[in-house]
Amino acid sequence: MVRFLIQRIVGTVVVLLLVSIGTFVLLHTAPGGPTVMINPNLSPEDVERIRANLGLDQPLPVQYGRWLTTLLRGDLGTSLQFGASVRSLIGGRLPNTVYLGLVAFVVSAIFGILLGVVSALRPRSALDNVITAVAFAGFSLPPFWLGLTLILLFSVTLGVLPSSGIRPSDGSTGFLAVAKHFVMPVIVLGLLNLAEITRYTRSSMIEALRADFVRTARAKGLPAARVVFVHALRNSLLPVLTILGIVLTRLLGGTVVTETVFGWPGIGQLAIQAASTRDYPLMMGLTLVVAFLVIVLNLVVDLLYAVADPRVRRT
Amino acid sequence: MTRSHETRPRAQRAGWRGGLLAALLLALLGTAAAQPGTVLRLAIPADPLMNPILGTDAAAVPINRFFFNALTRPDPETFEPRPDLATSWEVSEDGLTWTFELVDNATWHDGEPFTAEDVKFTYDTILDPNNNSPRRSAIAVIESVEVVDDYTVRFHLSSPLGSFPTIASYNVGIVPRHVLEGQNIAEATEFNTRHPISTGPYEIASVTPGSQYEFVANPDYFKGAPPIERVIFKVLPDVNTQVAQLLSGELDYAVVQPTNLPALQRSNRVKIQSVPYLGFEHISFNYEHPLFSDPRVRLAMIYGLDREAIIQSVMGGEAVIGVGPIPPVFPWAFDDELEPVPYDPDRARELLAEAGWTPGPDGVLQKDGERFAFEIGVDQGNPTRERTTLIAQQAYQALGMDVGVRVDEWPVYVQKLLGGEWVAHAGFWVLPPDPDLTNYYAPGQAFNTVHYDNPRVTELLEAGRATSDQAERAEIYKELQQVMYEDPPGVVLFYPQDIQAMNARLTTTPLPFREALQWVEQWRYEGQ
Repeated sequence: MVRFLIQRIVGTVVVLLLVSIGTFVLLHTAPGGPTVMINPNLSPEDVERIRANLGLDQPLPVQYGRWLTTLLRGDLGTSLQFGASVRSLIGGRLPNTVYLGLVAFVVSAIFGILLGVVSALRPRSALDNVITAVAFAGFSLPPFWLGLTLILLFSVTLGVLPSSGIRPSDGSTGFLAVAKHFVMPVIVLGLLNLAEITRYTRSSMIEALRADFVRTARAKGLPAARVVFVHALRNSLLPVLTILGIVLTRLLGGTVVTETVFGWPGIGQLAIQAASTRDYPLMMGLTLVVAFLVIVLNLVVDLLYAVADPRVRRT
Repeated sequence: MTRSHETRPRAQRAGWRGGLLAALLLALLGTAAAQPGTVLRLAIPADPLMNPILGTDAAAVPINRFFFNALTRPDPETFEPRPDLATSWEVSEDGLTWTFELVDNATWHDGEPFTAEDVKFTYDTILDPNNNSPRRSAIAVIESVEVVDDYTVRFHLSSPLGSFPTIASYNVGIVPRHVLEGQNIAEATEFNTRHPISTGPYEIASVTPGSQYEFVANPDYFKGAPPIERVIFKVLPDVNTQVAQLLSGELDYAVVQPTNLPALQRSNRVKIQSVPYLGFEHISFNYEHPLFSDPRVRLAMIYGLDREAIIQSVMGGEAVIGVGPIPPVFPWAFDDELEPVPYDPDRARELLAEAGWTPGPDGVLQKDGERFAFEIGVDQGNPTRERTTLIAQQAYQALGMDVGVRVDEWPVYVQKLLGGEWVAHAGFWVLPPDPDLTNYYAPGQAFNTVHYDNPRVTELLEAGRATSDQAERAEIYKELQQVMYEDPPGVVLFYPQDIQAMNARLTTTPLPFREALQWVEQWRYEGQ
């Protein structure tokens, strides 16, 4: 296990290095430069001077080397757009994305697995068809459209839910007041991932229900609920775990559209701002942090896999 | 038919259930929109950099105008400079020395007194090339700043600049020397993003990055405490969300697009205020390019475009047809004797024929074997501008030109703009509250993106800058408009209105958003 972990840590560093080089080259070769230099009052000489001060006139390898040296000192650099350290900017936003991502994850996992199990118990029944239809509708609806529709319904027409932000603008932190802010973003993100989880649970569950050990359990006269939820479900969760891992990394990697529509102060929204202003240091910092999160989450999923299925440990 | 009759009672029952559920939700959650009337909630598209020495984008400029005082601010009717931190100013005979008297009762939010040293520090910091301030070029005419006494400051210029009290204050909020001195201004994270202080009417109360910036009234404000107690800028990048929040009462003020008007006009919670904007929408043509070097061709481009139809269809009527690059918001400088060029495609064809362009075998205009083919560049994400450009494309195709439209995302569009790469481009020029157009139409200027170079215009631009006598400047700018009417750099499409949607009980200064924020201490709700 220790060897496995060491291997993974070394791998992580290599992957992060490769990701950073790829991102750096892509960002700097994309057309258009940092918009901090756009101003009708800037003379061409001033633009050149600012470029030089920021080191943007240096060859790419030199610029990358400089960025890496700063990083090794534990500094992600200073954002061009915000005049603030990249670390403080990401640090201020990352928790918000994590909160939203985790809540959306838990909700879609619970509902997804539950619906998948229900579907699997009566495959091709009316209920199964309805669940499949709803799940796919949720998956197919553009989050942008769905978000605005929810805002129109719950904020504009009914006036019961706030349409943006993470907590009330009057600063109150009561559970209900804060929870209200989560409802719509969680619905949008949850629906988006529900279909996948439902479908995977359903097919894996159908397979498990047909397996010999389930037939044996039934034959022994165990209660139906125990057969389904303990014997069949536990065994069918293995493939679902993989998809849950993918869903979680997607949610924590920043859910750009949802954060933009709901004015959610997470890293997805920050990434949009950074990309549209060509804020190189901020983009680099965000990519690195997200890449790191994805790698760590994958590692956790791998470890959980081993816990859930002893066969994996042996191989 | 039968089927619909059968399903109706069930639908009605479902409706009742839905209503009951909604009522239950309402009772459980309470209304989201209930807010005290002394809070003003506005929208900004991104997190702002709260330092006027550095911030230039659509989020930073409004907050900086709202938060920091400058030496002067624009008059709500004429845009002429009015006292802000300066009480009065005078210029020397040779136009090279400007002396500003300052208020003597202003304090910073931490209680320190405001003095001429703060003014000197602000301008010196901007002028220091190592600080990367995007404001530097605009005020590079300043050679030195001298503190005469605590409340008098003198600027020595390298050449006369008649609009100095306006230009020196344009986006130049005065920052506190005692807080920022000795710091690297670009890395002053605490001041730039979390806790700036100013002499202004509101103090910062709390910051939730990506979500909201909250300010409270400054009881010691030197012009008197403002009536609205709290101001919250919400970070709302999506315009549709802003409109939804105006309708739900979560937002009290936002600048909207003409396309949003139908939705907002139906609400009795919201009122619309349209004010003239300091700028103009245009499609400009490269002055040096063989296609457009003949002024008759550029004139034909104006005759060939039905701008009134664009104003009605794209702008919802919220714009005034363009005459020239000086907008009518400067009544003293605007030449109201000039009439907008009418829509007359036949006249356009005549002018093109006079310039030697005749239909070729493929129907496209040709001259000396060259086809009249070009591309109009436009930035992505502005629906009204994209639609306007498509209409222009059709109009010019009807004149026999082979026209393409090239949509690029903003950084790419600007890179091409500054590189002078566009043969034709659609865009929008914002002016400081002064009709000086040197940045846009004098040769060699970075934002003379179409390489406009008319010697008489250059002379007039220089003359307009050199004098501070308004009557004299008015004469100069009227002649400038006449010359540019005959030799246009492109099509001035229209002068758009700044469409402000706001809480029906709110009264603001009738200025464009950013300028209006400089008078925020005069904003109030009904009954205040």
